[in-house]
Amino acid sequence: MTKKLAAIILAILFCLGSLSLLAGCSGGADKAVDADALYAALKKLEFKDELIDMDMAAIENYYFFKDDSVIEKALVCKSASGATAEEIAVITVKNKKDVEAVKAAVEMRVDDLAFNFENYVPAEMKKINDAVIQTYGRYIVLAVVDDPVAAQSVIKEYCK
Amino acid sequence: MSRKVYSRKKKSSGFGLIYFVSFLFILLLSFVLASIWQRSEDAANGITPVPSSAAEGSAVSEVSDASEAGESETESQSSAIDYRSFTLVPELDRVTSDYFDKAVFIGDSITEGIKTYGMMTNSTVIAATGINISTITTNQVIKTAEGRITVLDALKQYPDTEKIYILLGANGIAWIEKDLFIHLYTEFISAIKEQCPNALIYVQSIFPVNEAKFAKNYDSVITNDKIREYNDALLKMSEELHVYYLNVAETIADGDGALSDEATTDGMHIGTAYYEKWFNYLKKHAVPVA
Repeated sequence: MTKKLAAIILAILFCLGSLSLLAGCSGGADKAVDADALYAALKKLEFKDELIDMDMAAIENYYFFKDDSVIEKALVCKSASGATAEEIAVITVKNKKDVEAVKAAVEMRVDDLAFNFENYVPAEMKKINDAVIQTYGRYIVLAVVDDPVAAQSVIKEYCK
Repeated sequence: MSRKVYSRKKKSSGFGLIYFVSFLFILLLSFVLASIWQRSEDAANGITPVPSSAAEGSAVSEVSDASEAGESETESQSSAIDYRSFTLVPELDRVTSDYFDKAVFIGDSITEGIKTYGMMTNSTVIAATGINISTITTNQVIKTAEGRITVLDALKQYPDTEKIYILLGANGIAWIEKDLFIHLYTEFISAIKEQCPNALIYVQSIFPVNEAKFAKNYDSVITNDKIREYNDALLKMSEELHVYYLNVAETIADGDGALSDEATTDGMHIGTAYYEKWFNYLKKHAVPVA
């Protein structure tokens, strides 16, 4: 009986251990990312226009978050003159469960950029169509840039 | 010898009297002519409904003279200035940000840029990238929770708007003829007046461009001469519609009347420093309200 009980406990412990290992395999998704460093690195990519950092009030003119209380930190910059669609966003949510809702707001922002530029400056559409949107743990990253491959490399470097 | 001298003295004294009388006559005549001219000037100023920029310049100096002199008579004159008789708004006392409470900025991507900057946050921006005077009344470009609506429908959501700033132009003037441009602009302002009959309406001049950069980026040609021509027409239209005209271009342009290389990346849109110049201009060209 004691042996049987020990075996059950061992099995449960084994299962728990396996689950935690599996979670760890999902790309270190719960690891903290240095959002400021990632944002700064993305801003170092090549841009046609000057970029301007926005505060939360300004950000919410462009990103329609259903509930902004879920956001821990939002780092967003866009084309200062509005001449290009160039934009970078690194948004951290407080809980991982809110990632999808914020990601939806980011996708909506990219749709808005397409709406604004498709008939105005069609040349900007390439970078809008190739916009990089990635999530990692509690982080949502957007890069509307000339070189999306370079943006992806930067994101990979900081989210590992 | 002395007699000759005496005789010569007598002769010169006679001529001197004639010169003196002539001098007095000319002086008197000048005085009379000057008085007549001054009266005709006063009369002309009194009947001009919309002052030219020179007349406005004198109105501005009248205000500053009043504040400097501190004389009660002059002060009462300045306080009696009817700002509504102006079209081209002169430089006035700088206002504080609360002037822009209940102000709405309407326009294209340049106006939309206001939302990016932490300035004028107390005002409302109804603007869309790529909009122009031929599409502003019809295109559903303003995003709301219920979907996209037109600029005029968006304005309906702000019935207590007190000041409306409009900036449109560069997007359309490459292909919209001047007469049509003014016709469409007039229709747009009439629609705004109907919706907000008590609001002060400011038409802002079209910003200058950097011709070389514009041609390179937009595959199209706009010259600053053409922009000036359209701006002249906008001023005339503003006079006729009794709305204010802000010559913002004067603070955006360089010495040649163009957008300088450092002001723009694409030839049309302005960078951070120039937004600040623009906002400063608006604060120094704000018509006082009761």
